[in-house]
Amino acid sequence: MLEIKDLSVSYGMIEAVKGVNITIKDGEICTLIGANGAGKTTIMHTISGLLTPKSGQIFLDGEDLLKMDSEEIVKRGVIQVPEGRRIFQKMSVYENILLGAYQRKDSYDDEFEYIYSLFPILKERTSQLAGTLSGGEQQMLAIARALMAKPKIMLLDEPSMGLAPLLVRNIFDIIKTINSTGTTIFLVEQNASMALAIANHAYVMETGRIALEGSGEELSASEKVQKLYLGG
Amino acid sequence: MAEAVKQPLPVLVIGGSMVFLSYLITGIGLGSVYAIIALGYSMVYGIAKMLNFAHGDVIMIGAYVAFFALSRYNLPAVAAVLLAIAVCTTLGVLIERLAYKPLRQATSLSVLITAIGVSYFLQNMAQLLWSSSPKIFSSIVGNRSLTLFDGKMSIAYINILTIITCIVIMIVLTLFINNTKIGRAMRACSEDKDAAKLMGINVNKTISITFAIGSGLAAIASVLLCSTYPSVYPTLGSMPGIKAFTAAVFGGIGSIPGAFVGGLLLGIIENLSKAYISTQLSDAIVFAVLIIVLLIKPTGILGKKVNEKV
Repeated sequence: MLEIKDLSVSYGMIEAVKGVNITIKDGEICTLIGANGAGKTTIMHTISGLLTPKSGQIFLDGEDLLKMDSEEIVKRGVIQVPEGRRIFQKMSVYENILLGAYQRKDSYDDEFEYIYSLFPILKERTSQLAGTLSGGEQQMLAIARALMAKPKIMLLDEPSMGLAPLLVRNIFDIIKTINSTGTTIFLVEQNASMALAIANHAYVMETGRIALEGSGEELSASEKVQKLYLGG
Repeated sequence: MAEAVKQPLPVLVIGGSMVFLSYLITGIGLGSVYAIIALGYSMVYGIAKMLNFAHGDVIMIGAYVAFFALSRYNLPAVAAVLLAIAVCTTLGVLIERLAYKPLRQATSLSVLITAIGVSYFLQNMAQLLWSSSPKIFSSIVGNRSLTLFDGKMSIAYINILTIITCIVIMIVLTLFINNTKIGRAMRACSEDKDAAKLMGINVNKTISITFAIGSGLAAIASVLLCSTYPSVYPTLGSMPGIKAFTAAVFGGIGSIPGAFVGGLLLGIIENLSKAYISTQLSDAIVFAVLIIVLLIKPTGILGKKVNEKV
């Protein structure tokens, strides 16, 4: 469904992503793990049109995303939950959710019901300012906001960051639930063990390059991954 | 401001407390104009994170357009105001497209210098087109006044019109920003542009809309200003522009109620200082109060700071 071909992205002189190839199949959970600074977020930003790459191609069902601006990419159903949640703190929970549906022209009552069933806590806090939510609630809001756009593929950038272990489990369960409704997931994580446990396919990134690739189980079993990322 | 100071106060006064009240109302009138102009600075700063120092000169262009519409082509006041709004809105969007948009990724200093450049460009263009000699603007409501308390107090109609216009603009704009889809998009852009893009919001379009609204309001301000201080000249916009910018900072830049409160306070302080302390010192007093406010509350009276949670 999403194909990244030979992608290179630089910030000035520094090349953050060097010739990366990633293929994400329809309906799967694909994960990209790697240490801080490996270039994971750069790839996410490039897919969403926030960054222009030096070279390479990104195809969504055969359409070249690099020819589109972020608005067009959102319209195609490529929806990102960014690193650090990036919810609109000075706006209410309800307004944040509404902004998720900004590009929708059809009715989105069903999505409202769906996200409130996934995150009942958000229903209790609709009129509260989003900046007053706890870290976990903010992450739920960020995911809920993305779901309002009816994503074909959801890009999640470090959803576990800064959350207590119990909440991390909770968020990962929700990611699995969202995937089970047919939404393709591309998950970027530093929490390798959790990510590999739910992934159908996984990539390991090291300083701008893909170092390893395989199924979630294969990589969990790999000696190198165990040593470097799973603390084994 | 020298021009403005020379004008007689548009309120005739008899009696002590009536005098104070009159000065106060004139101050609120002046402050209302500052508030309307301050909105332009504040909204553009809030969303594009830049100080549009050419905003004052958009007022000047609006004043010339209204002047020619009224005096040369004898158009009715409403038509003149609408024409000024149309021209200023187009000009504002054009300035943003041609001068600021190419600098979206540049440092804020480059943008600031460009804004000053645009300001001088507009002033010199006006001088070239219409000469630097002032033109006399005829008030859109005439020079009549409302007389109260058996003639003990009179308030110029233009003052009343200005205050009402300002209040209506504030209410409509607040409703627009808080309750419409475009308003939500504007607030989202103001908080986090990349996150706004991830929602599918067209940030460039949103910035254009902000410039359009700010410039349209500048046109309204120009007609109200020139109806009170009736001379039109190429540097007309500078001083009210700087005062309104001060008002925006005073109230908390980026905030709409802040622009309102800041503008009104500035107008009242300026006018009362002129009346009771010294005409020459009034501006110094205004800026002294600004400094004190910023020392106590660096974000301005209504400015807020939300702490980020990680």
